Amino acid sequence: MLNVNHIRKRFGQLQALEDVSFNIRKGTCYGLLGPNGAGKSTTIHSISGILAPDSGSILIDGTDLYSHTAACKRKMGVVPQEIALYEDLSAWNNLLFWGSLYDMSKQDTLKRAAILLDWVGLADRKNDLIAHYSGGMKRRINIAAALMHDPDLILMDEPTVGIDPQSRNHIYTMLQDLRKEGKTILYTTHYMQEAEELCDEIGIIDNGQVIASGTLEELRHQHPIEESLHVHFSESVTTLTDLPWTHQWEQDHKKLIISSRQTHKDLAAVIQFLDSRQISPEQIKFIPINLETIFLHLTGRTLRD
Amino acid sequence: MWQIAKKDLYIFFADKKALFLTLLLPIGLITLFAFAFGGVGQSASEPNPVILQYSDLDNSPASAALIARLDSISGIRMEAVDTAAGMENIRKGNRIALLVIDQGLEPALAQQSALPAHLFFDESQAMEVSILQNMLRGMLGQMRATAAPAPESAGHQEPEASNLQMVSVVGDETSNWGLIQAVAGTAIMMLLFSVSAIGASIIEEKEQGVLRRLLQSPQPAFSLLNGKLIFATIIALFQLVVMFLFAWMAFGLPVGMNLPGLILMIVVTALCCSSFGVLLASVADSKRQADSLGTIIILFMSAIGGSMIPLYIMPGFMQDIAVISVNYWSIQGFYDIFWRQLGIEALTENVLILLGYTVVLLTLSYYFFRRKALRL
Repeated sequence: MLNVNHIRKRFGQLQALEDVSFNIRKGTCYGLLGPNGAGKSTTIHSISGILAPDSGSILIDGTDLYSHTAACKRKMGVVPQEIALYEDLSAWNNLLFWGSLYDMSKQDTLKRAAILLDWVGLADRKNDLIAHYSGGMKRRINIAAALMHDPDLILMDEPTVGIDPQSRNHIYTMLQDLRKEGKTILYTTHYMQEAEELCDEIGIIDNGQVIASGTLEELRHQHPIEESLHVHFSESVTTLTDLPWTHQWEQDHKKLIISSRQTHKDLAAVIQFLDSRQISPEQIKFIPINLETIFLHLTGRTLRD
Repeated sequence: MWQIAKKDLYIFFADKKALFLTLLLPIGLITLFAFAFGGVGQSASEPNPVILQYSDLDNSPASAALIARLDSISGIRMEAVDTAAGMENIRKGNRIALLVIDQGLEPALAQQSALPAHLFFDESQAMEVSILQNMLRGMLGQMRATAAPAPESAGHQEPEASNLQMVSVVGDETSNWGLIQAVAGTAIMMLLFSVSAIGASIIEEKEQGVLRRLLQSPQPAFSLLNGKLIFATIIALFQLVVMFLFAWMAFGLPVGMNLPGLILMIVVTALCCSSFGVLLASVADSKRQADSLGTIIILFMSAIGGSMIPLYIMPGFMQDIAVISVNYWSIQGFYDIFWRQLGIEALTENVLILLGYTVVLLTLSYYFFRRKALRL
């Protein structure tokens, strides 16, 4: 459905996209994960047809985006990171307006707007001005506006930024619905959990490059990362020199990181070992192999940095 | 408290361009009003001479002497015309006055009888006409005194106003040039403010991310600009129509006098002003810049174009530069309709120039919109 091939984009001295390539199969959800400034939004803008890359190509359903821009734009709906709605219009009128940009018939526009308002759970408040909505409600209308023309490809640029957990869950449910409908989704986020739960495939972007791509399982196997136990002490511990596990010390010997592919089994042994040395840990954390650790392994920093 | 002031000062001084524009406004207006009311710059530059048309039907030594004396005054340039052409020039607003000297000036001067001299004038140029009138009366009075010295007993009496007959050529009892000046001048200035606010909404949409979303739709990039232009034009039309209707109902402005001409002028004025609003939005980088730049340009155009100060008050060189202002061509068009009571064909120049401005403003708008607004 979407093929992004070696796109590059430079803004003055800044090489925003170095070499971005990935493919999204029809009906799947692809998560583009990266810290702020990694190139997620630039990639989305390029794919949405408003920022032509300096080189490389973008194909929507096999059609070159920048040769047939209008036709390709009709196939996609973009949920921007900002609440890009008219605050002085009602939700209903916003949806009608955004739908009208896609040359829909009046009948189809009215029908679709009613369906979407019902879907986002705001049918009873459809005549309220957007200005009177909460942040979460605005986010839902923001998504609905992108779906007015029923696109096959949906680009979502951090659609859950800055909203309460309840609204976020509502949006997750909406995304699941879209996946059930067979929509192809490109989803950018810096919430690891979102990407893990919602996406079939994940691409990790950093410094304008996709540095890893695949399913979570594939990513786990591609990178030799071990699960770990993080053992925290209230005071510096310098007497543990004969630990039988691969380990490292942090925070002035107040934190011990033990790596293992069998952390569950090793947990009991660690506790027993510390007990035998009469050392009481303040806290022990089990760190599984997840996107956070993969990302940390790949980039040397956390996603929130 | 100090932190709040410090923060606001930082924000205020951060946008250097907007700061410059904010300071430029009062400085520019002070300069402008100093030129207009304070006589600043008048010694440095030669004022534009007033062109006084004359038609000498008397052809006597006395009439020739009068014309020669008038011509010798540095601020006046005499221009010989035939009476009909001279009158037409005044009606069209090309000249402000015509001196017609009928036969019999010499005997009239000698006999202290009514002088066969008429000054036909455009009342809307009150200040210049008043100067001409006083000058002529003074000269004719002197000539009369020389031709027939008054007896000793009447020595203290001035010759009775020299009997120069003043005839207003333009306008009639239904016309009121002051009202036309007030309505047309104010309407256009206010219209420019309205459309610049509409244009600035493009910047707001950019700042809110709505512009980007619009561009992500299959609509051509310039459809946004065109949409804003249509909206601004409709609002401008509505605003002008309401203003002229108000002037009609409240002050009796005869809007039906030349309805096709009025509609034509309203349409081209609305189009031109709307293009200005759209250009403003395309040029400015921020809402604050658009507001400052808009206020400066509008007040300058209004001041030099005759919206705020009637043109005849301005020094000559400022009257010359008035033609660069949209306000000037629009106000003159409305003067042609209501004051000079000319037909629709007389508006051709005004209409073409305002349409020319529209084309230039829109071309620049598209250029800057591509360069700036689409830079996401």
